[in-house]
Amino acid sequence: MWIYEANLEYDAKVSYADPRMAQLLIAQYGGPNGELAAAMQYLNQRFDMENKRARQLLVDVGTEELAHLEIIGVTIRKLLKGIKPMQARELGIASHYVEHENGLFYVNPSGNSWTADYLKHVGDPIADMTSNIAAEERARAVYEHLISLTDDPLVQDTLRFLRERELVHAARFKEALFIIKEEMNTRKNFYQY
Amino acid sequence: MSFRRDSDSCSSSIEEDKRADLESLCNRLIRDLQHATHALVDLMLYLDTHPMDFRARQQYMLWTNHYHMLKHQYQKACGPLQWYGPNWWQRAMGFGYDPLDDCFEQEPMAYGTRDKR
Repeated sequence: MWIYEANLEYDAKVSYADPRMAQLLIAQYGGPNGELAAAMQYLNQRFDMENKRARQLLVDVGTEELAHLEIIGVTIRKLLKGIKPMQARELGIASHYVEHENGLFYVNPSGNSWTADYLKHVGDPIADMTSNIAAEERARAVYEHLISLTDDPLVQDTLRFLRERELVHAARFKEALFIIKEEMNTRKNFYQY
Repeated sequence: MSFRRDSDSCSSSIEEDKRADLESLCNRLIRDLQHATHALVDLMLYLDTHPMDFRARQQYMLWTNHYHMLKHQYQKACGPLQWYGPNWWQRAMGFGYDPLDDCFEQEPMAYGTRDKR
């Protein structure tokens, strides 16, 4: 089970309302490389991970991704604060406004709904852990793109923190992959079938 | 994170000062809690792959103690913070810090006003 703490993992401050940036940031909310996809992928894989250390890591990283989802959500909400309908139309984000007003939804910036097809799970620990490393690296790349797409120093600060966390997660997953292989090496060849 | 004062309550200047002190205390505590969480999350993930690292374990223990101390202080002075914590129901009445406080037109309720409402 989970325990909620009413505190963000990192400040979600913005200097000014920027609805266009909000529309781009939604890539990390409901996009294929976003925090929701990452959290769901790890929390799903843990049911099938035999190695106990790797399983614990999946729970802990998946839970932290949910905390990041909260930071991204609050940032988007602040970037959209006080935007009037006609303003949204002028800025070209009316397609989001018409369905969700100034709220959030699990879509990517192009408007495609979030789908479980984004998730990767085959049940093989090496394949799964390798795809987790790749997912973290993709999320890091998306954060780098987002940082280069805004000039708001406070939003950049939040995004930098999240980018660093993705790097830490990737490093931990690499270690977990090593641990899994080491454990399987007692069978001499971990690709042996 | 900012906690604005309650504008529609009538109070003396001493009470106002007290409330300002409380506000800065609560802002500091929530920030320190955030710092402790950063250290703890990072150590936690590291210990998942290096559970036998004695120094990391020691640091984890020190940070846990610090975190629990801060949490206790915050919950005593500023309002509910966590599931199963004291007075959690007060969040439904508008007390305590919420991540979405700054996202709406309605002003968040100030600390120290809980006895008046």
